[in-house]
Amino acid sequence: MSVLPCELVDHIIDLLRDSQTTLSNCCLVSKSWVPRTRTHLFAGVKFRTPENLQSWKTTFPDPSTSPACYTKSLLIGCPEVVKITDVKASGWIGGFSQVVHLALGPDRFTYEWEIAFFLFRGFSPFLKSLLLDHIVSRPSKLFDFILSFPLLEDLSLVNCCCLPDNGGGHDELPTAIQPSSPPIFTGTLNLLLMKETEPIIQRLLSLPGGVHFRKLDLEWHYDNSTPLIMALVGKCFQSIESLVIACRGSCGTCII
Amino acid sequence: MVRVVLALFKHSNLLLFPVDPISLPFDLSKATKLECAVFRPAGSLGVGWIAHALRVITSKHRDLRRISVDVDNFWASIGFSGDVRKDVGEKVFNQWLDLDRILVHLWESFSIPVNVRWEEEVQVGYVEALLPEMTRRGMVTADLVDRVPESQ
Repeated sequence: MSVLPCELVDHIIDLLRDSQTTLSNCCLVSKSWVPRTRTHLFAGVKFRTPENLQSWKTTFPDPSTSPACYTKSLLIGCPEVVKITDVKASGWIGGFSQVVHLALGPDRFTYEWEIAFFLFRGFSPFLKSLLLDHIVSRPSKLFDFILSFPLLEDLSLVNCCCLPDNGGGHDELPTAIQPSSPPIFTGTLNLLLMKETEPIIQRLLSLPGGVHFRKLDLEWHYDNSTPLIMALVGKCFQSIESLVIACRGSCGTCII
Repeated sequence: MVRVVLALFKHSNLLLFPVDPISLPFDLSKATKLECAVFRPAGSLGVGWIAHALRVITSKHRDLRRISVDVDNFWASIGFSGDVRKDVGEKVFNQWLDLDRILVHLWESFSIPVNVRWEEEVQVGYVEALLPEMTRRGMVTADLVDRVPESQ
């Protein structure tokens, strides 16, 4: 094996990226092949269920030796089971520090728990794309989480629902310290806007550096959200290249 | 509740179309980098907001390569009496005609490819009546609307 230049070996392994079985076999050929094969084998990791997550923690108890550092795309479908111990030095979250795409959200809505966003706050400084689906949270916590990724370009908020922030009717302010340079959002905004999502969008619009999305994919159900949608489009007028806009109206708009 | 009522009147022409709730226009006049614009109006609502948004498109939007209006299957659920103006109401009917004119204008004046896509089940009579010029030019396609986000 050593007669082959490592660049050539890497190229051969790259060509096998779509074959999980072959990659797994390559991993066993030589220690020198392990890093490159792991780059592909663990590029995308999905924890759809708590069992998936537990299985990972059992298999890779030590984050420093786990292949999490190869992961670029991470899906956590069971964020509610993540605990404070998962964040500490020996926790698994820290291992995923190279993640570029993160999808967070359970399969369905439940108001029984809020996602503890602070556990995921800024865990990967390279994050460029964030998808939040079926999220129930307080706007301040959610927005604080979003702003903790300075390189964030793409944001998807689908079926997100905000709970009232604590503070007795005062305008909610992010509780944690803001990063020195909040993301400038130059990618895609995918938004299903409901009345409950409005506080997040209002915060997004009030960012000092503004938003510069190149692609807007907007859908809204609530008529009173129209000015907010228009403001969003208006904020991005200098950068916008693609606009997909769907109005679903509200139940009360059909009159017999 | 409304959904139930709608179901009861599914095949009647008693639906009164509401006034377009979106009275404020989307300002695309300064969005000169725009390359693609897709509008998906709610079936029961008017399309005045789309007409407003497109009215400000000018030759400055030189990158614009696609304008599409995707219409959902709401129109397939209402009965077609033959008198579309009566079915949808005067205001909504005029909004569609206005949109028809604007889309044709964009195509003829600025060579911007425009397209309206309807669900297959929608009565052809509706399409022909609401978008007469677009239909005449063959710029209306009856296909199932692709709901995959365009941004992908």
